[in-house]
Amino acid sequence: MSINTLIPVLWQGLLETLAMTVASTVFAYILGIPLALLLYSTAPGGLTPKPALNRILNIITNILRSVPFLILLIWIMPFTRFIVGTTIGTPAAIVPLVVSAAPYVARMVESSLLEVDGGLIEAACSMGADTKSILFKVVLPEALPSLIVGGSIAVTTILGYSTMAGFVGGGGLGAIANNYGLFRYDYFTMFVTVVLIVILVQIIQAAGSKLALKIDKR
Amino acid sequence: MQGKEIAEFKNVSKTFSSKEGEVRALSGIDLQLYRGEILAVIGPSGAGKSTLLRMLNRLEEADEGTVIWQGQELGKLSPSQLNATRRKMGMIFQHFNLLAQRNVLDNVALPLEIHGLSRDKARAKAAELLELVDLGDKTYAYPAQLSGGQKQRVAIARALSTDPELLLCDEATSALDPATTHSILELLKKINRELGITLFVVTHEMHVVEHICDRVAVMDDGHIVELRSVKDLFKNPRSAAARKLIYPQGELLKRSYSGARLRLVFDGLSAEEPLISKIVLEAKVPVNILYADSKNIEDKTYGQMLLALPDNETAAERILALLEREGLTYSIDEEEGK
Repeated sequence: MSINTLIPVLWQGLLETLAMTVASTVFAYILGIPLALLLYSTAPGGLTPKPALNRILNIITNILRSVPFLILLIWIMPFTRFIVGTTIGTPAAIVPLVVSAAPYVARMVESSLLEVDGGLIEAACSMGADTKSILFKVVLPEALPSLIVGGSIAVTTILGYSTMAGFVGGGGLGAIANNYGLFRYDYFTMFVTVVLIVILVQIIQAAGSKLALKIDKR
Repeated sequence: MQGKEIAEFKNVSKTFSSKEGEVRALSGIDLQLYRGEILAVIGPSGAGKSTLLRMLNRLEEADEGTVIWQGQELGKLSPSQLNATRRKMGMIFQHFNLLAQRNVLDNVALPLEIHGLSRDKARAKAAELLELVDLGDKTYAYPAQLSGGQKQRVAIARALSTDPELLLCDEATSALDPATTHSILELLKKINRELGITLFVVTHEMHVVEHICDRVAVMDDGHIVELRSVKDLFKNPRSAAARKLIYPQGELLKRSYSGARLRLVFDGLSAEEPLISKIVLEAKVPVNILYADSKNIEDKTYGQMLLALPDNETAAERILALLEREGLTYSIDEEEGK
């Protein structure tokens, strides 16, 4: 493919990839943060220990985390159709991306929360803080730098997954690499696509690390 | 013992179970805390003193017995009642426990925010408290930019923000150097005197007790072995644990010298007298000093001196006669094993 025809195709793919990644990340965090807060506070020795609930949440999270993305993508196609009405295209790729990323995000967030010093939680208890205040005034703000580092890792992972979605009818750079590189042996186009993805990942990772460093007051 | 009872432990016991087995942290503790006083609990690490302190705001629950706060049984409070009660007790920690991502002002404002005050009002109150602890110039600094002593001052301001009646100090100076410890203790004393806040101080450092406390409870292995005024404790420590804390070197010497010893007690009046010269010149007995130590409490000197008592009985009697004349408190520790 010539450069002149390639550029608009790549531009379109880049936008689709970014849209998929951003939308999936946002939804994954909308589901993942509450799940992480539940995992964190119901754990034994947590703020409000609920061992049975904690065990159930852990099992669900682990099951979803252990299904490889490509298999999950195909496995939940009926669910995807139910949500967006189709299994092809960018919106349809977002559903499996969210299902796959939400438990992953929950684990990342949970591990950031666990890094918060127990002494701070004890201090908050001694002030008479309830669980809600401890979570939202102490634990989450103190974990923020770590959450941002985790966030950039989550975004790059979701970006990687989104390219896989391209193989089964999702759009984006993954679809371009698949359609041109795999089916037409157009290695140049595939190479350019890969370079683009690498650059994207680098930018996101660097921006996340820099932001985390900037806001961390430690 | 200025005021009425503010809190009380009644026959409180606590056992921790771990993989290595059960540890009895507290057994049968009875202790009253009076409004306006500074009560210290001192003891070696593992004696159970921090556990005791943490029962006052129910960070630890008692297995047996009851903890009373202003006539109410703490164990019977609902979670929301407990949080309201905790507001009346500030707490400071060995490692300060400041929020690293909040600046000094917002750290001090945090308890007020938790109790529903608007951020502006909370900050206004916090700014006043920072003046009280001499940190008005650090308002917008972050904890990482402060020294240990400054961090503890922020923690004290934070603990005072909800106008508590009781301040719980859990090894509050143990991570600080001696000079900083001194200034923090001065601040705590000022808070007690000027704001009338009761202080419950847990420490393993005797100089903390000397410096600020009215009464002291000596803990050893989950028990209170001695509970007296600080003055009385220094004059004549009765328990082995207290002697060890007050005169660590003295206890060592006790083992290294096997003869009879004369223990002189300075009770704040006669420490300035040239006593040793008198013994040498008037009783004409050479003196062998085994150990001497004195402490200043409320500007009076308290101390102990261990002398080797001469084997010569008339010489020994001449010394004792002199001590009687001078009106000094003394005791004779007999030779070990006799």
